[in-house]
Amino acid sequence: MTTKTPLGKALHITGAHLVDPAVKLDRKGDVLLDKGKIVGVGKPGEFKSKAKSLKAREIDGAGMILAPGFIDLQTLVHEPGAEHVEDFGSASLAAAAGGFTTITSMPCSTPVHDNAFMTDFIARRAKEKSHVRVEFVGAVTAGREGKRLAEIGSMIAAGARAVGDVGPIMDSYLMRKALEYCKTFSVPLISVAEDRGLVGQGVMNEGFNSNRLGLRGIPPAAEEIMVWRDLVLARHTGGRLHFSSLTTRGSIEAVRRAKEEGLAVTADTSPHYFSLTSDAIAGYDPNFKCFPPLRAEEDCEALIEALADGTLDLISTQHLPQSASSKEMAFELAAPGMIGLETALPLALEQVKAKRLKLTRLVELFASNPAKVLGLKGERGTIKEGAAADLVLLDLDATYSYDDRRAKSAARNSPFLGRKFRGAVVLTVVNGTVVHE
Amino acid sequence: MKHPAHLLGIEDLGVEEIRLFLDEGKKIKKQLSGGERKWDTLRGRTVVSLFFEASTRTRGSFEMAAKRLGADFIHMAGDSNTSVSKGETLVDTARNLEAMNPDFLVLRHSSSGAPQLLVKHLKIPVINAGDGFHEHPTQALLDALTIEERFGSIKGLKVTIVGDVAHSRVARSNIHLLKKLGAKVSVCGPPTLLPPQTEKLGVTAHYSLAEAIKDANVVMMLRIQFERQNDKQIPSTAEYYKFFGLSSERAKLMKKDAIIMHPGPMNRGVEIAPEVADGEASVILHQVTNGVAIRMAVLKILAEGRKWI
Repeated sequence: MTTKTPLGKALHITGAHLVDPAVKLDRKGDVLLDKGKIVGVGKPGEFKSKAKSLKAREIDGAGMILAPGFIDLQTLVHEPGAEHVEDFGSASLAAAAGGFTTITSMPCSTPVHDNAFMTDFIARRAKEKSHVRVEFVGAVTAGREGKRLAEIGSMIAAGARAVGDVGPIMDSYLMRKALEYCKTFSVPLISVAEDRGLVGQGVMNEGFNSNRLGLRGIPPAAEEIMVWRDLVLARHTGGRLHFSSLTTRGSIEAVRRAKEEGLAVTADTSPHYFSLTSDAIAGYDPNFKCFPPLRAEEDCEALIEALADGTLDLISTQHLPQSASSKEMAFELAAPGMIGLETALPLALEQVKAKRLKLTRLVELFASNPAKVLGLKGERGTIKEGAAADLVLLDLDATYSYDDRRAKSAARNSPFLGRKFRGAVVLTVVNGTVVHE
Repeated sequence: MKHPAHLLGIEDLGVEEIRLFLDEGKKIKKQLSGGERKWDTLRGRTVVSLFFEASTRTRGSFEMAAKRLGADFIHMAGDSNTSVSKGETLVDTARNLEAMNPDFLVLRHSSSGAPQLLVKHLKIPVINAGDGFHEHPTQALLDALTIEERFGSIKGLKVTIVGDVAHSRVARSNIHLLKKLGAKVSVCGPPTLLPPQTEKLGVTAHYSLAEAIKDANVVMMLRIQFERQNDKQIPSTAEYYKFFGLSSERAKLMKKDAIIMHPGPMNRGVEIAPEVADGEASVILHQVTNGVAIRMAVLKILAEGRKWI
């Protein structure tokens, strides 16, 4: 178990509106949890006596939504390496506050997670520090250098669930071999599609804004070229591919076509990409700097459509903590990235409010589909008997300010600090234990 | 029936031609086992071997085969010891050697198709001792002889070939021969080491060693060549052994009377555990013994074809 959170005592959550599209659940009901598992999902009042005999803690969910705990496929916490900025402890508190009961540790640590010894070590750290569950993604190439394969099989045997280089594998021959090699172990290869040459020294989306601001731009082509390349290789090898944080309309069109063809491809985007455009960079605030960069209105539109129509399978947070000093620099020199575990849900809820996404679809994007990609279907990310007691209780009407006092992450690099949001996480349960309320 | 003029590969041989070689090989093996050491069959004939790659078994057994049949044998080590190092082409080298009137040319070359090239320019029989990763016909023949020794007939047997099948001439020749004789063939390795469109060869691909060997009568292990060409196919020999190495525990999954083969040379601890290579089920050294008999058979059959004997 890769969390420090112990098996919880019994919990009885009553009167909430249960939402889990994976089991076609969308009604009022009660849920009983015991010894870390969901032991009952039923009608209001169904478990009254059983809960009493288990001496369960009673939680009133009236007026609230009960969903499976969210699963983030792109948590970029540098542990080991930069624990002073954010470690599994603080990241997990941020995760729980954001409704996430599982985070995925991407191999951005120092030393690089490219062998089974590191898998063991990081698992140990997660077990010691993390309040939510941690799944591991190992590197594809040794040292993430893109020159030769890492010991993928050994990392998977040690518990990793997928591999990804947190950056493109520029050598197409090696990318091909990686996709083929991963078939041995039936795991997905998580790709960050960007052509380094076309990215060049760009720091924001290439367009009128970059022109006006005098900043080097990254054209959408930089992402789209690699998306197409990866898709062609996925077709050729029959390998499983997952795209992290797609941001452009062209990328969406490519993935849509690939899915029509039946390729084993899944993809995600992150909330800042469908909530912000490069217009936001007008003031040179480095909190808006990220890779890939914020794009244009038409790209946001395409992403939201894709989230709704299934072209995008899930939302990942791309939570990338940075120190205050690394962000207190001129835009082009500042460290890239935003924290995002605590703002992912409210930003996605804005699309539900705008009637662009259904609530059930939101739960698919945050829980059901991430569980599928990681091979956890049925075990987690679902409200059904026997599944892990990882749940989140939401109050869609509660309004609050996402401010310094409320934020749980140890880092503060978010452009949304100070913003008012609607839709709060009231309770987060991991392993049957309440980790946030 | 018409004897083959050369032995370039198994793909173009018919079942009768294969049986010619195997049955002769069987006969000769019996005589060798009985203590026969010298024949006069090819007295006065000369076999020239021209090898552009290192070899222990193939070269050694061709020389042994030629000499047992009474022929003379000249070995030329291709790259460094011939004028190829001065820029002479393969065709010129072969034609110049042919001008000295040998009777056979045995060629091992790192380029697939090199023997085919020589056949266009030479009159003497050409025997392929391994070309690139295309074919190694005498290996497949001696492997078949070894399998028939143990099981009587190859028809219906399940044979699994494990390792770098994509770059293996031994695998290719064996796949052709085993299928022609009616075996069910599967290959096993990570997808990066299996040939593209493997199914088109008529074999089943497995990515799990346990799956691949549990029903096999014959498990054929191939050497993992962890030099530059494999740099990107597998992460390390340690990981390869972890998932595809024939360890003693894995070997226990095999059927009781299954045999383990290897064309050699072996990397002990990379594709096969030392104790398995030397164990009861291993017929690896029998293969080498059969290699002499088969190569004697090949020389004899080709000579018969030319009406020299």
